[in-house]
Amino acid sequence: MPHIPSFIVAPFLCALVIAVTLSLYSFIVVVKRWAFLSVGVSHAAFGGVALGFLLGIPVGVSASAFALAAAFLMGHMKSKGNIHEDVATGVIFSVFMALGVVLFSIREGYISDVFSYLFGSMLAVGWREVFVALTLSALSIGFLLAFKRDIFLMLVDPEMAYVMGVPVRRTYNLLLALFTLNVVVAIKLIGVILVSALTVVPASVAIFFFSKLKHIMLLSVTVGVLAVMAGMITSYITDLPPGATTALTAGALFFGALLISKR
Amino acid sequence: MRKTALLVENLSVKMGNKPILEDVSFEVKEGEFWGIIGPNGGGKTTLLRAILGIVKPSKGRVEIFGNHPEKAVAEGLVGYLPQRIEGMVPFTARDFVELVGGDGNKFLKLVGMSEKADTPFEKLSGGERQRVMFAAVLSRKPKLLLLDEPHTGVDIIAQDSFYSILKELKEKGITILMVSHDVGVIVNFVDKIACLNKKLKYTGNPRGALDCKLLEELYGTKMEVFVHHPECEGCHIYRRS
Repeated sequence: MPHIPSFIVAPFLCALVIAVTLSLYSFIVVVKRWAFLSVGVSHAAFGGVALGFLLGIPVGVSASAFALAAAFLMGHMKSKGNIHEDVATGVIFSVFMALGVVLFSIREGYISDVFSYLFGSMLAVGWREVFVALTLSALSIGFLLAFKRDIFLMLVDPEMAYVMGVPVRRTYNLLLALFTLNVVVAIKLIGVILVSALTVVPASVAIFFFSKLKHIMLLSVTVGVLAVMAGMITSYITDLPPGATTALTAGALFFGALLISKR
Repeated sequence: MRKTALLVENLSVKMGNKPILEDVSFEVKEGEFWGIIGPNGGGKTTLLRAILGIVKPSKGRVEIFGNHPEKAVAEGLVGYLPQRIEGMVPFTARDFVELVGGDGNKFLKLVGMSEKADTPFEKLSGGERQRVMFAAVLSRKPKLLLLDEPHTGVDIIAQDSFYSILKELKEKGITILMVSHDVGVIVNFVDKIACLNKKLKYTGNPRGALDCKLLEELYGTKMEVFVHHPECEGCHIYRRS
């Protein structure tokens, strides 16, 4: 039996949990057209990461606060300011990201930290991260299962859902908050810049082949787990950042599936 | 005396400073079938959204069976069929109706979609999707139905069968308010018609809406109304001259 170094068990387990959860939420990202929003919240979290380092507070807390603030600010600008979601996302994420760059610049010796948060790092993930990912995953998947009807009616058409008795605003806010927190949890491993590969690719690939929800979800999780595991193994062997290897694997799966589905 | 199903009183809606609806008032009795016609941008969809409480009026009020719209919606008194849906539906027709909470077989049969019950929603034509959505809406057994141009992209045969379903629902006492751009057809089926272009230009007998001067005022263009055959209910057409 090959020897498995103990320090990679936690990152691999964490990656597995993140892959399953984000792959399930990936369907919502694709249907709700949240792809750019997912890029936005992950980049916005970078501001929180920098603030956490600067003030010496837990990075996960400050990154979550920044990402949640960005996610809801984008929604608020869209609904109240009559600004298109793309525009709101573009403005918010660049401002929050720029804030992160400024804060990191103030702090000395930031280069390795920046690189690690931009592209992910296996070494940054320990058993505490596994515990957080597992807890959040249980909450997130539990929410999907418990409110399946409300969530999917809202995805089909929010106004029709409202008339069918769905508390649309509450459902939307909870869904957005859980999705955002899952993105933040994935940042340590996959990185700010590349985590969107995991939020967009799995369901996109599944939708090429299936139109029934159950099949979409199953293939989505398969694609997500495959991309993350292949990315992690490649990262471990080659010492490349796990975010980059995961995003490349996910990209290869996407283009491969695109070619096969068009035949 | 029949109960009031829907009361719209002095309803005004603004988007920013732009008036979309101005001082609209009408009353729909239980079991009536009303049509709302008017040009694009005349406020027809906004009226439905204001009735549902999705759009907040700048003035006036709406009551559905004596209730505030949000309460009526929460109690399941209202069914709403939007013109189109925003997202993707990753279900079969039956799954979709059952997700809403109804008996898939029963309600798909009602709208003539039994044969397509196991077809993925995304593979249905525009008209078929509309009928599946209608089945989902009916499965909640609403007392008031609001329909927003349900005939968009639907052929004449499907349109006729849709009107037959509406006729059956009306006979069961369901109140219907339907927005349509097809003046010539809707006047043959409804009890009353409302002509809307920001303000109500006319409410009453549907035949009264075929008056050329009224239609010219409503649509802002010259209109001629032709009745092709007195026995052919579907042959009334209107056209620009």
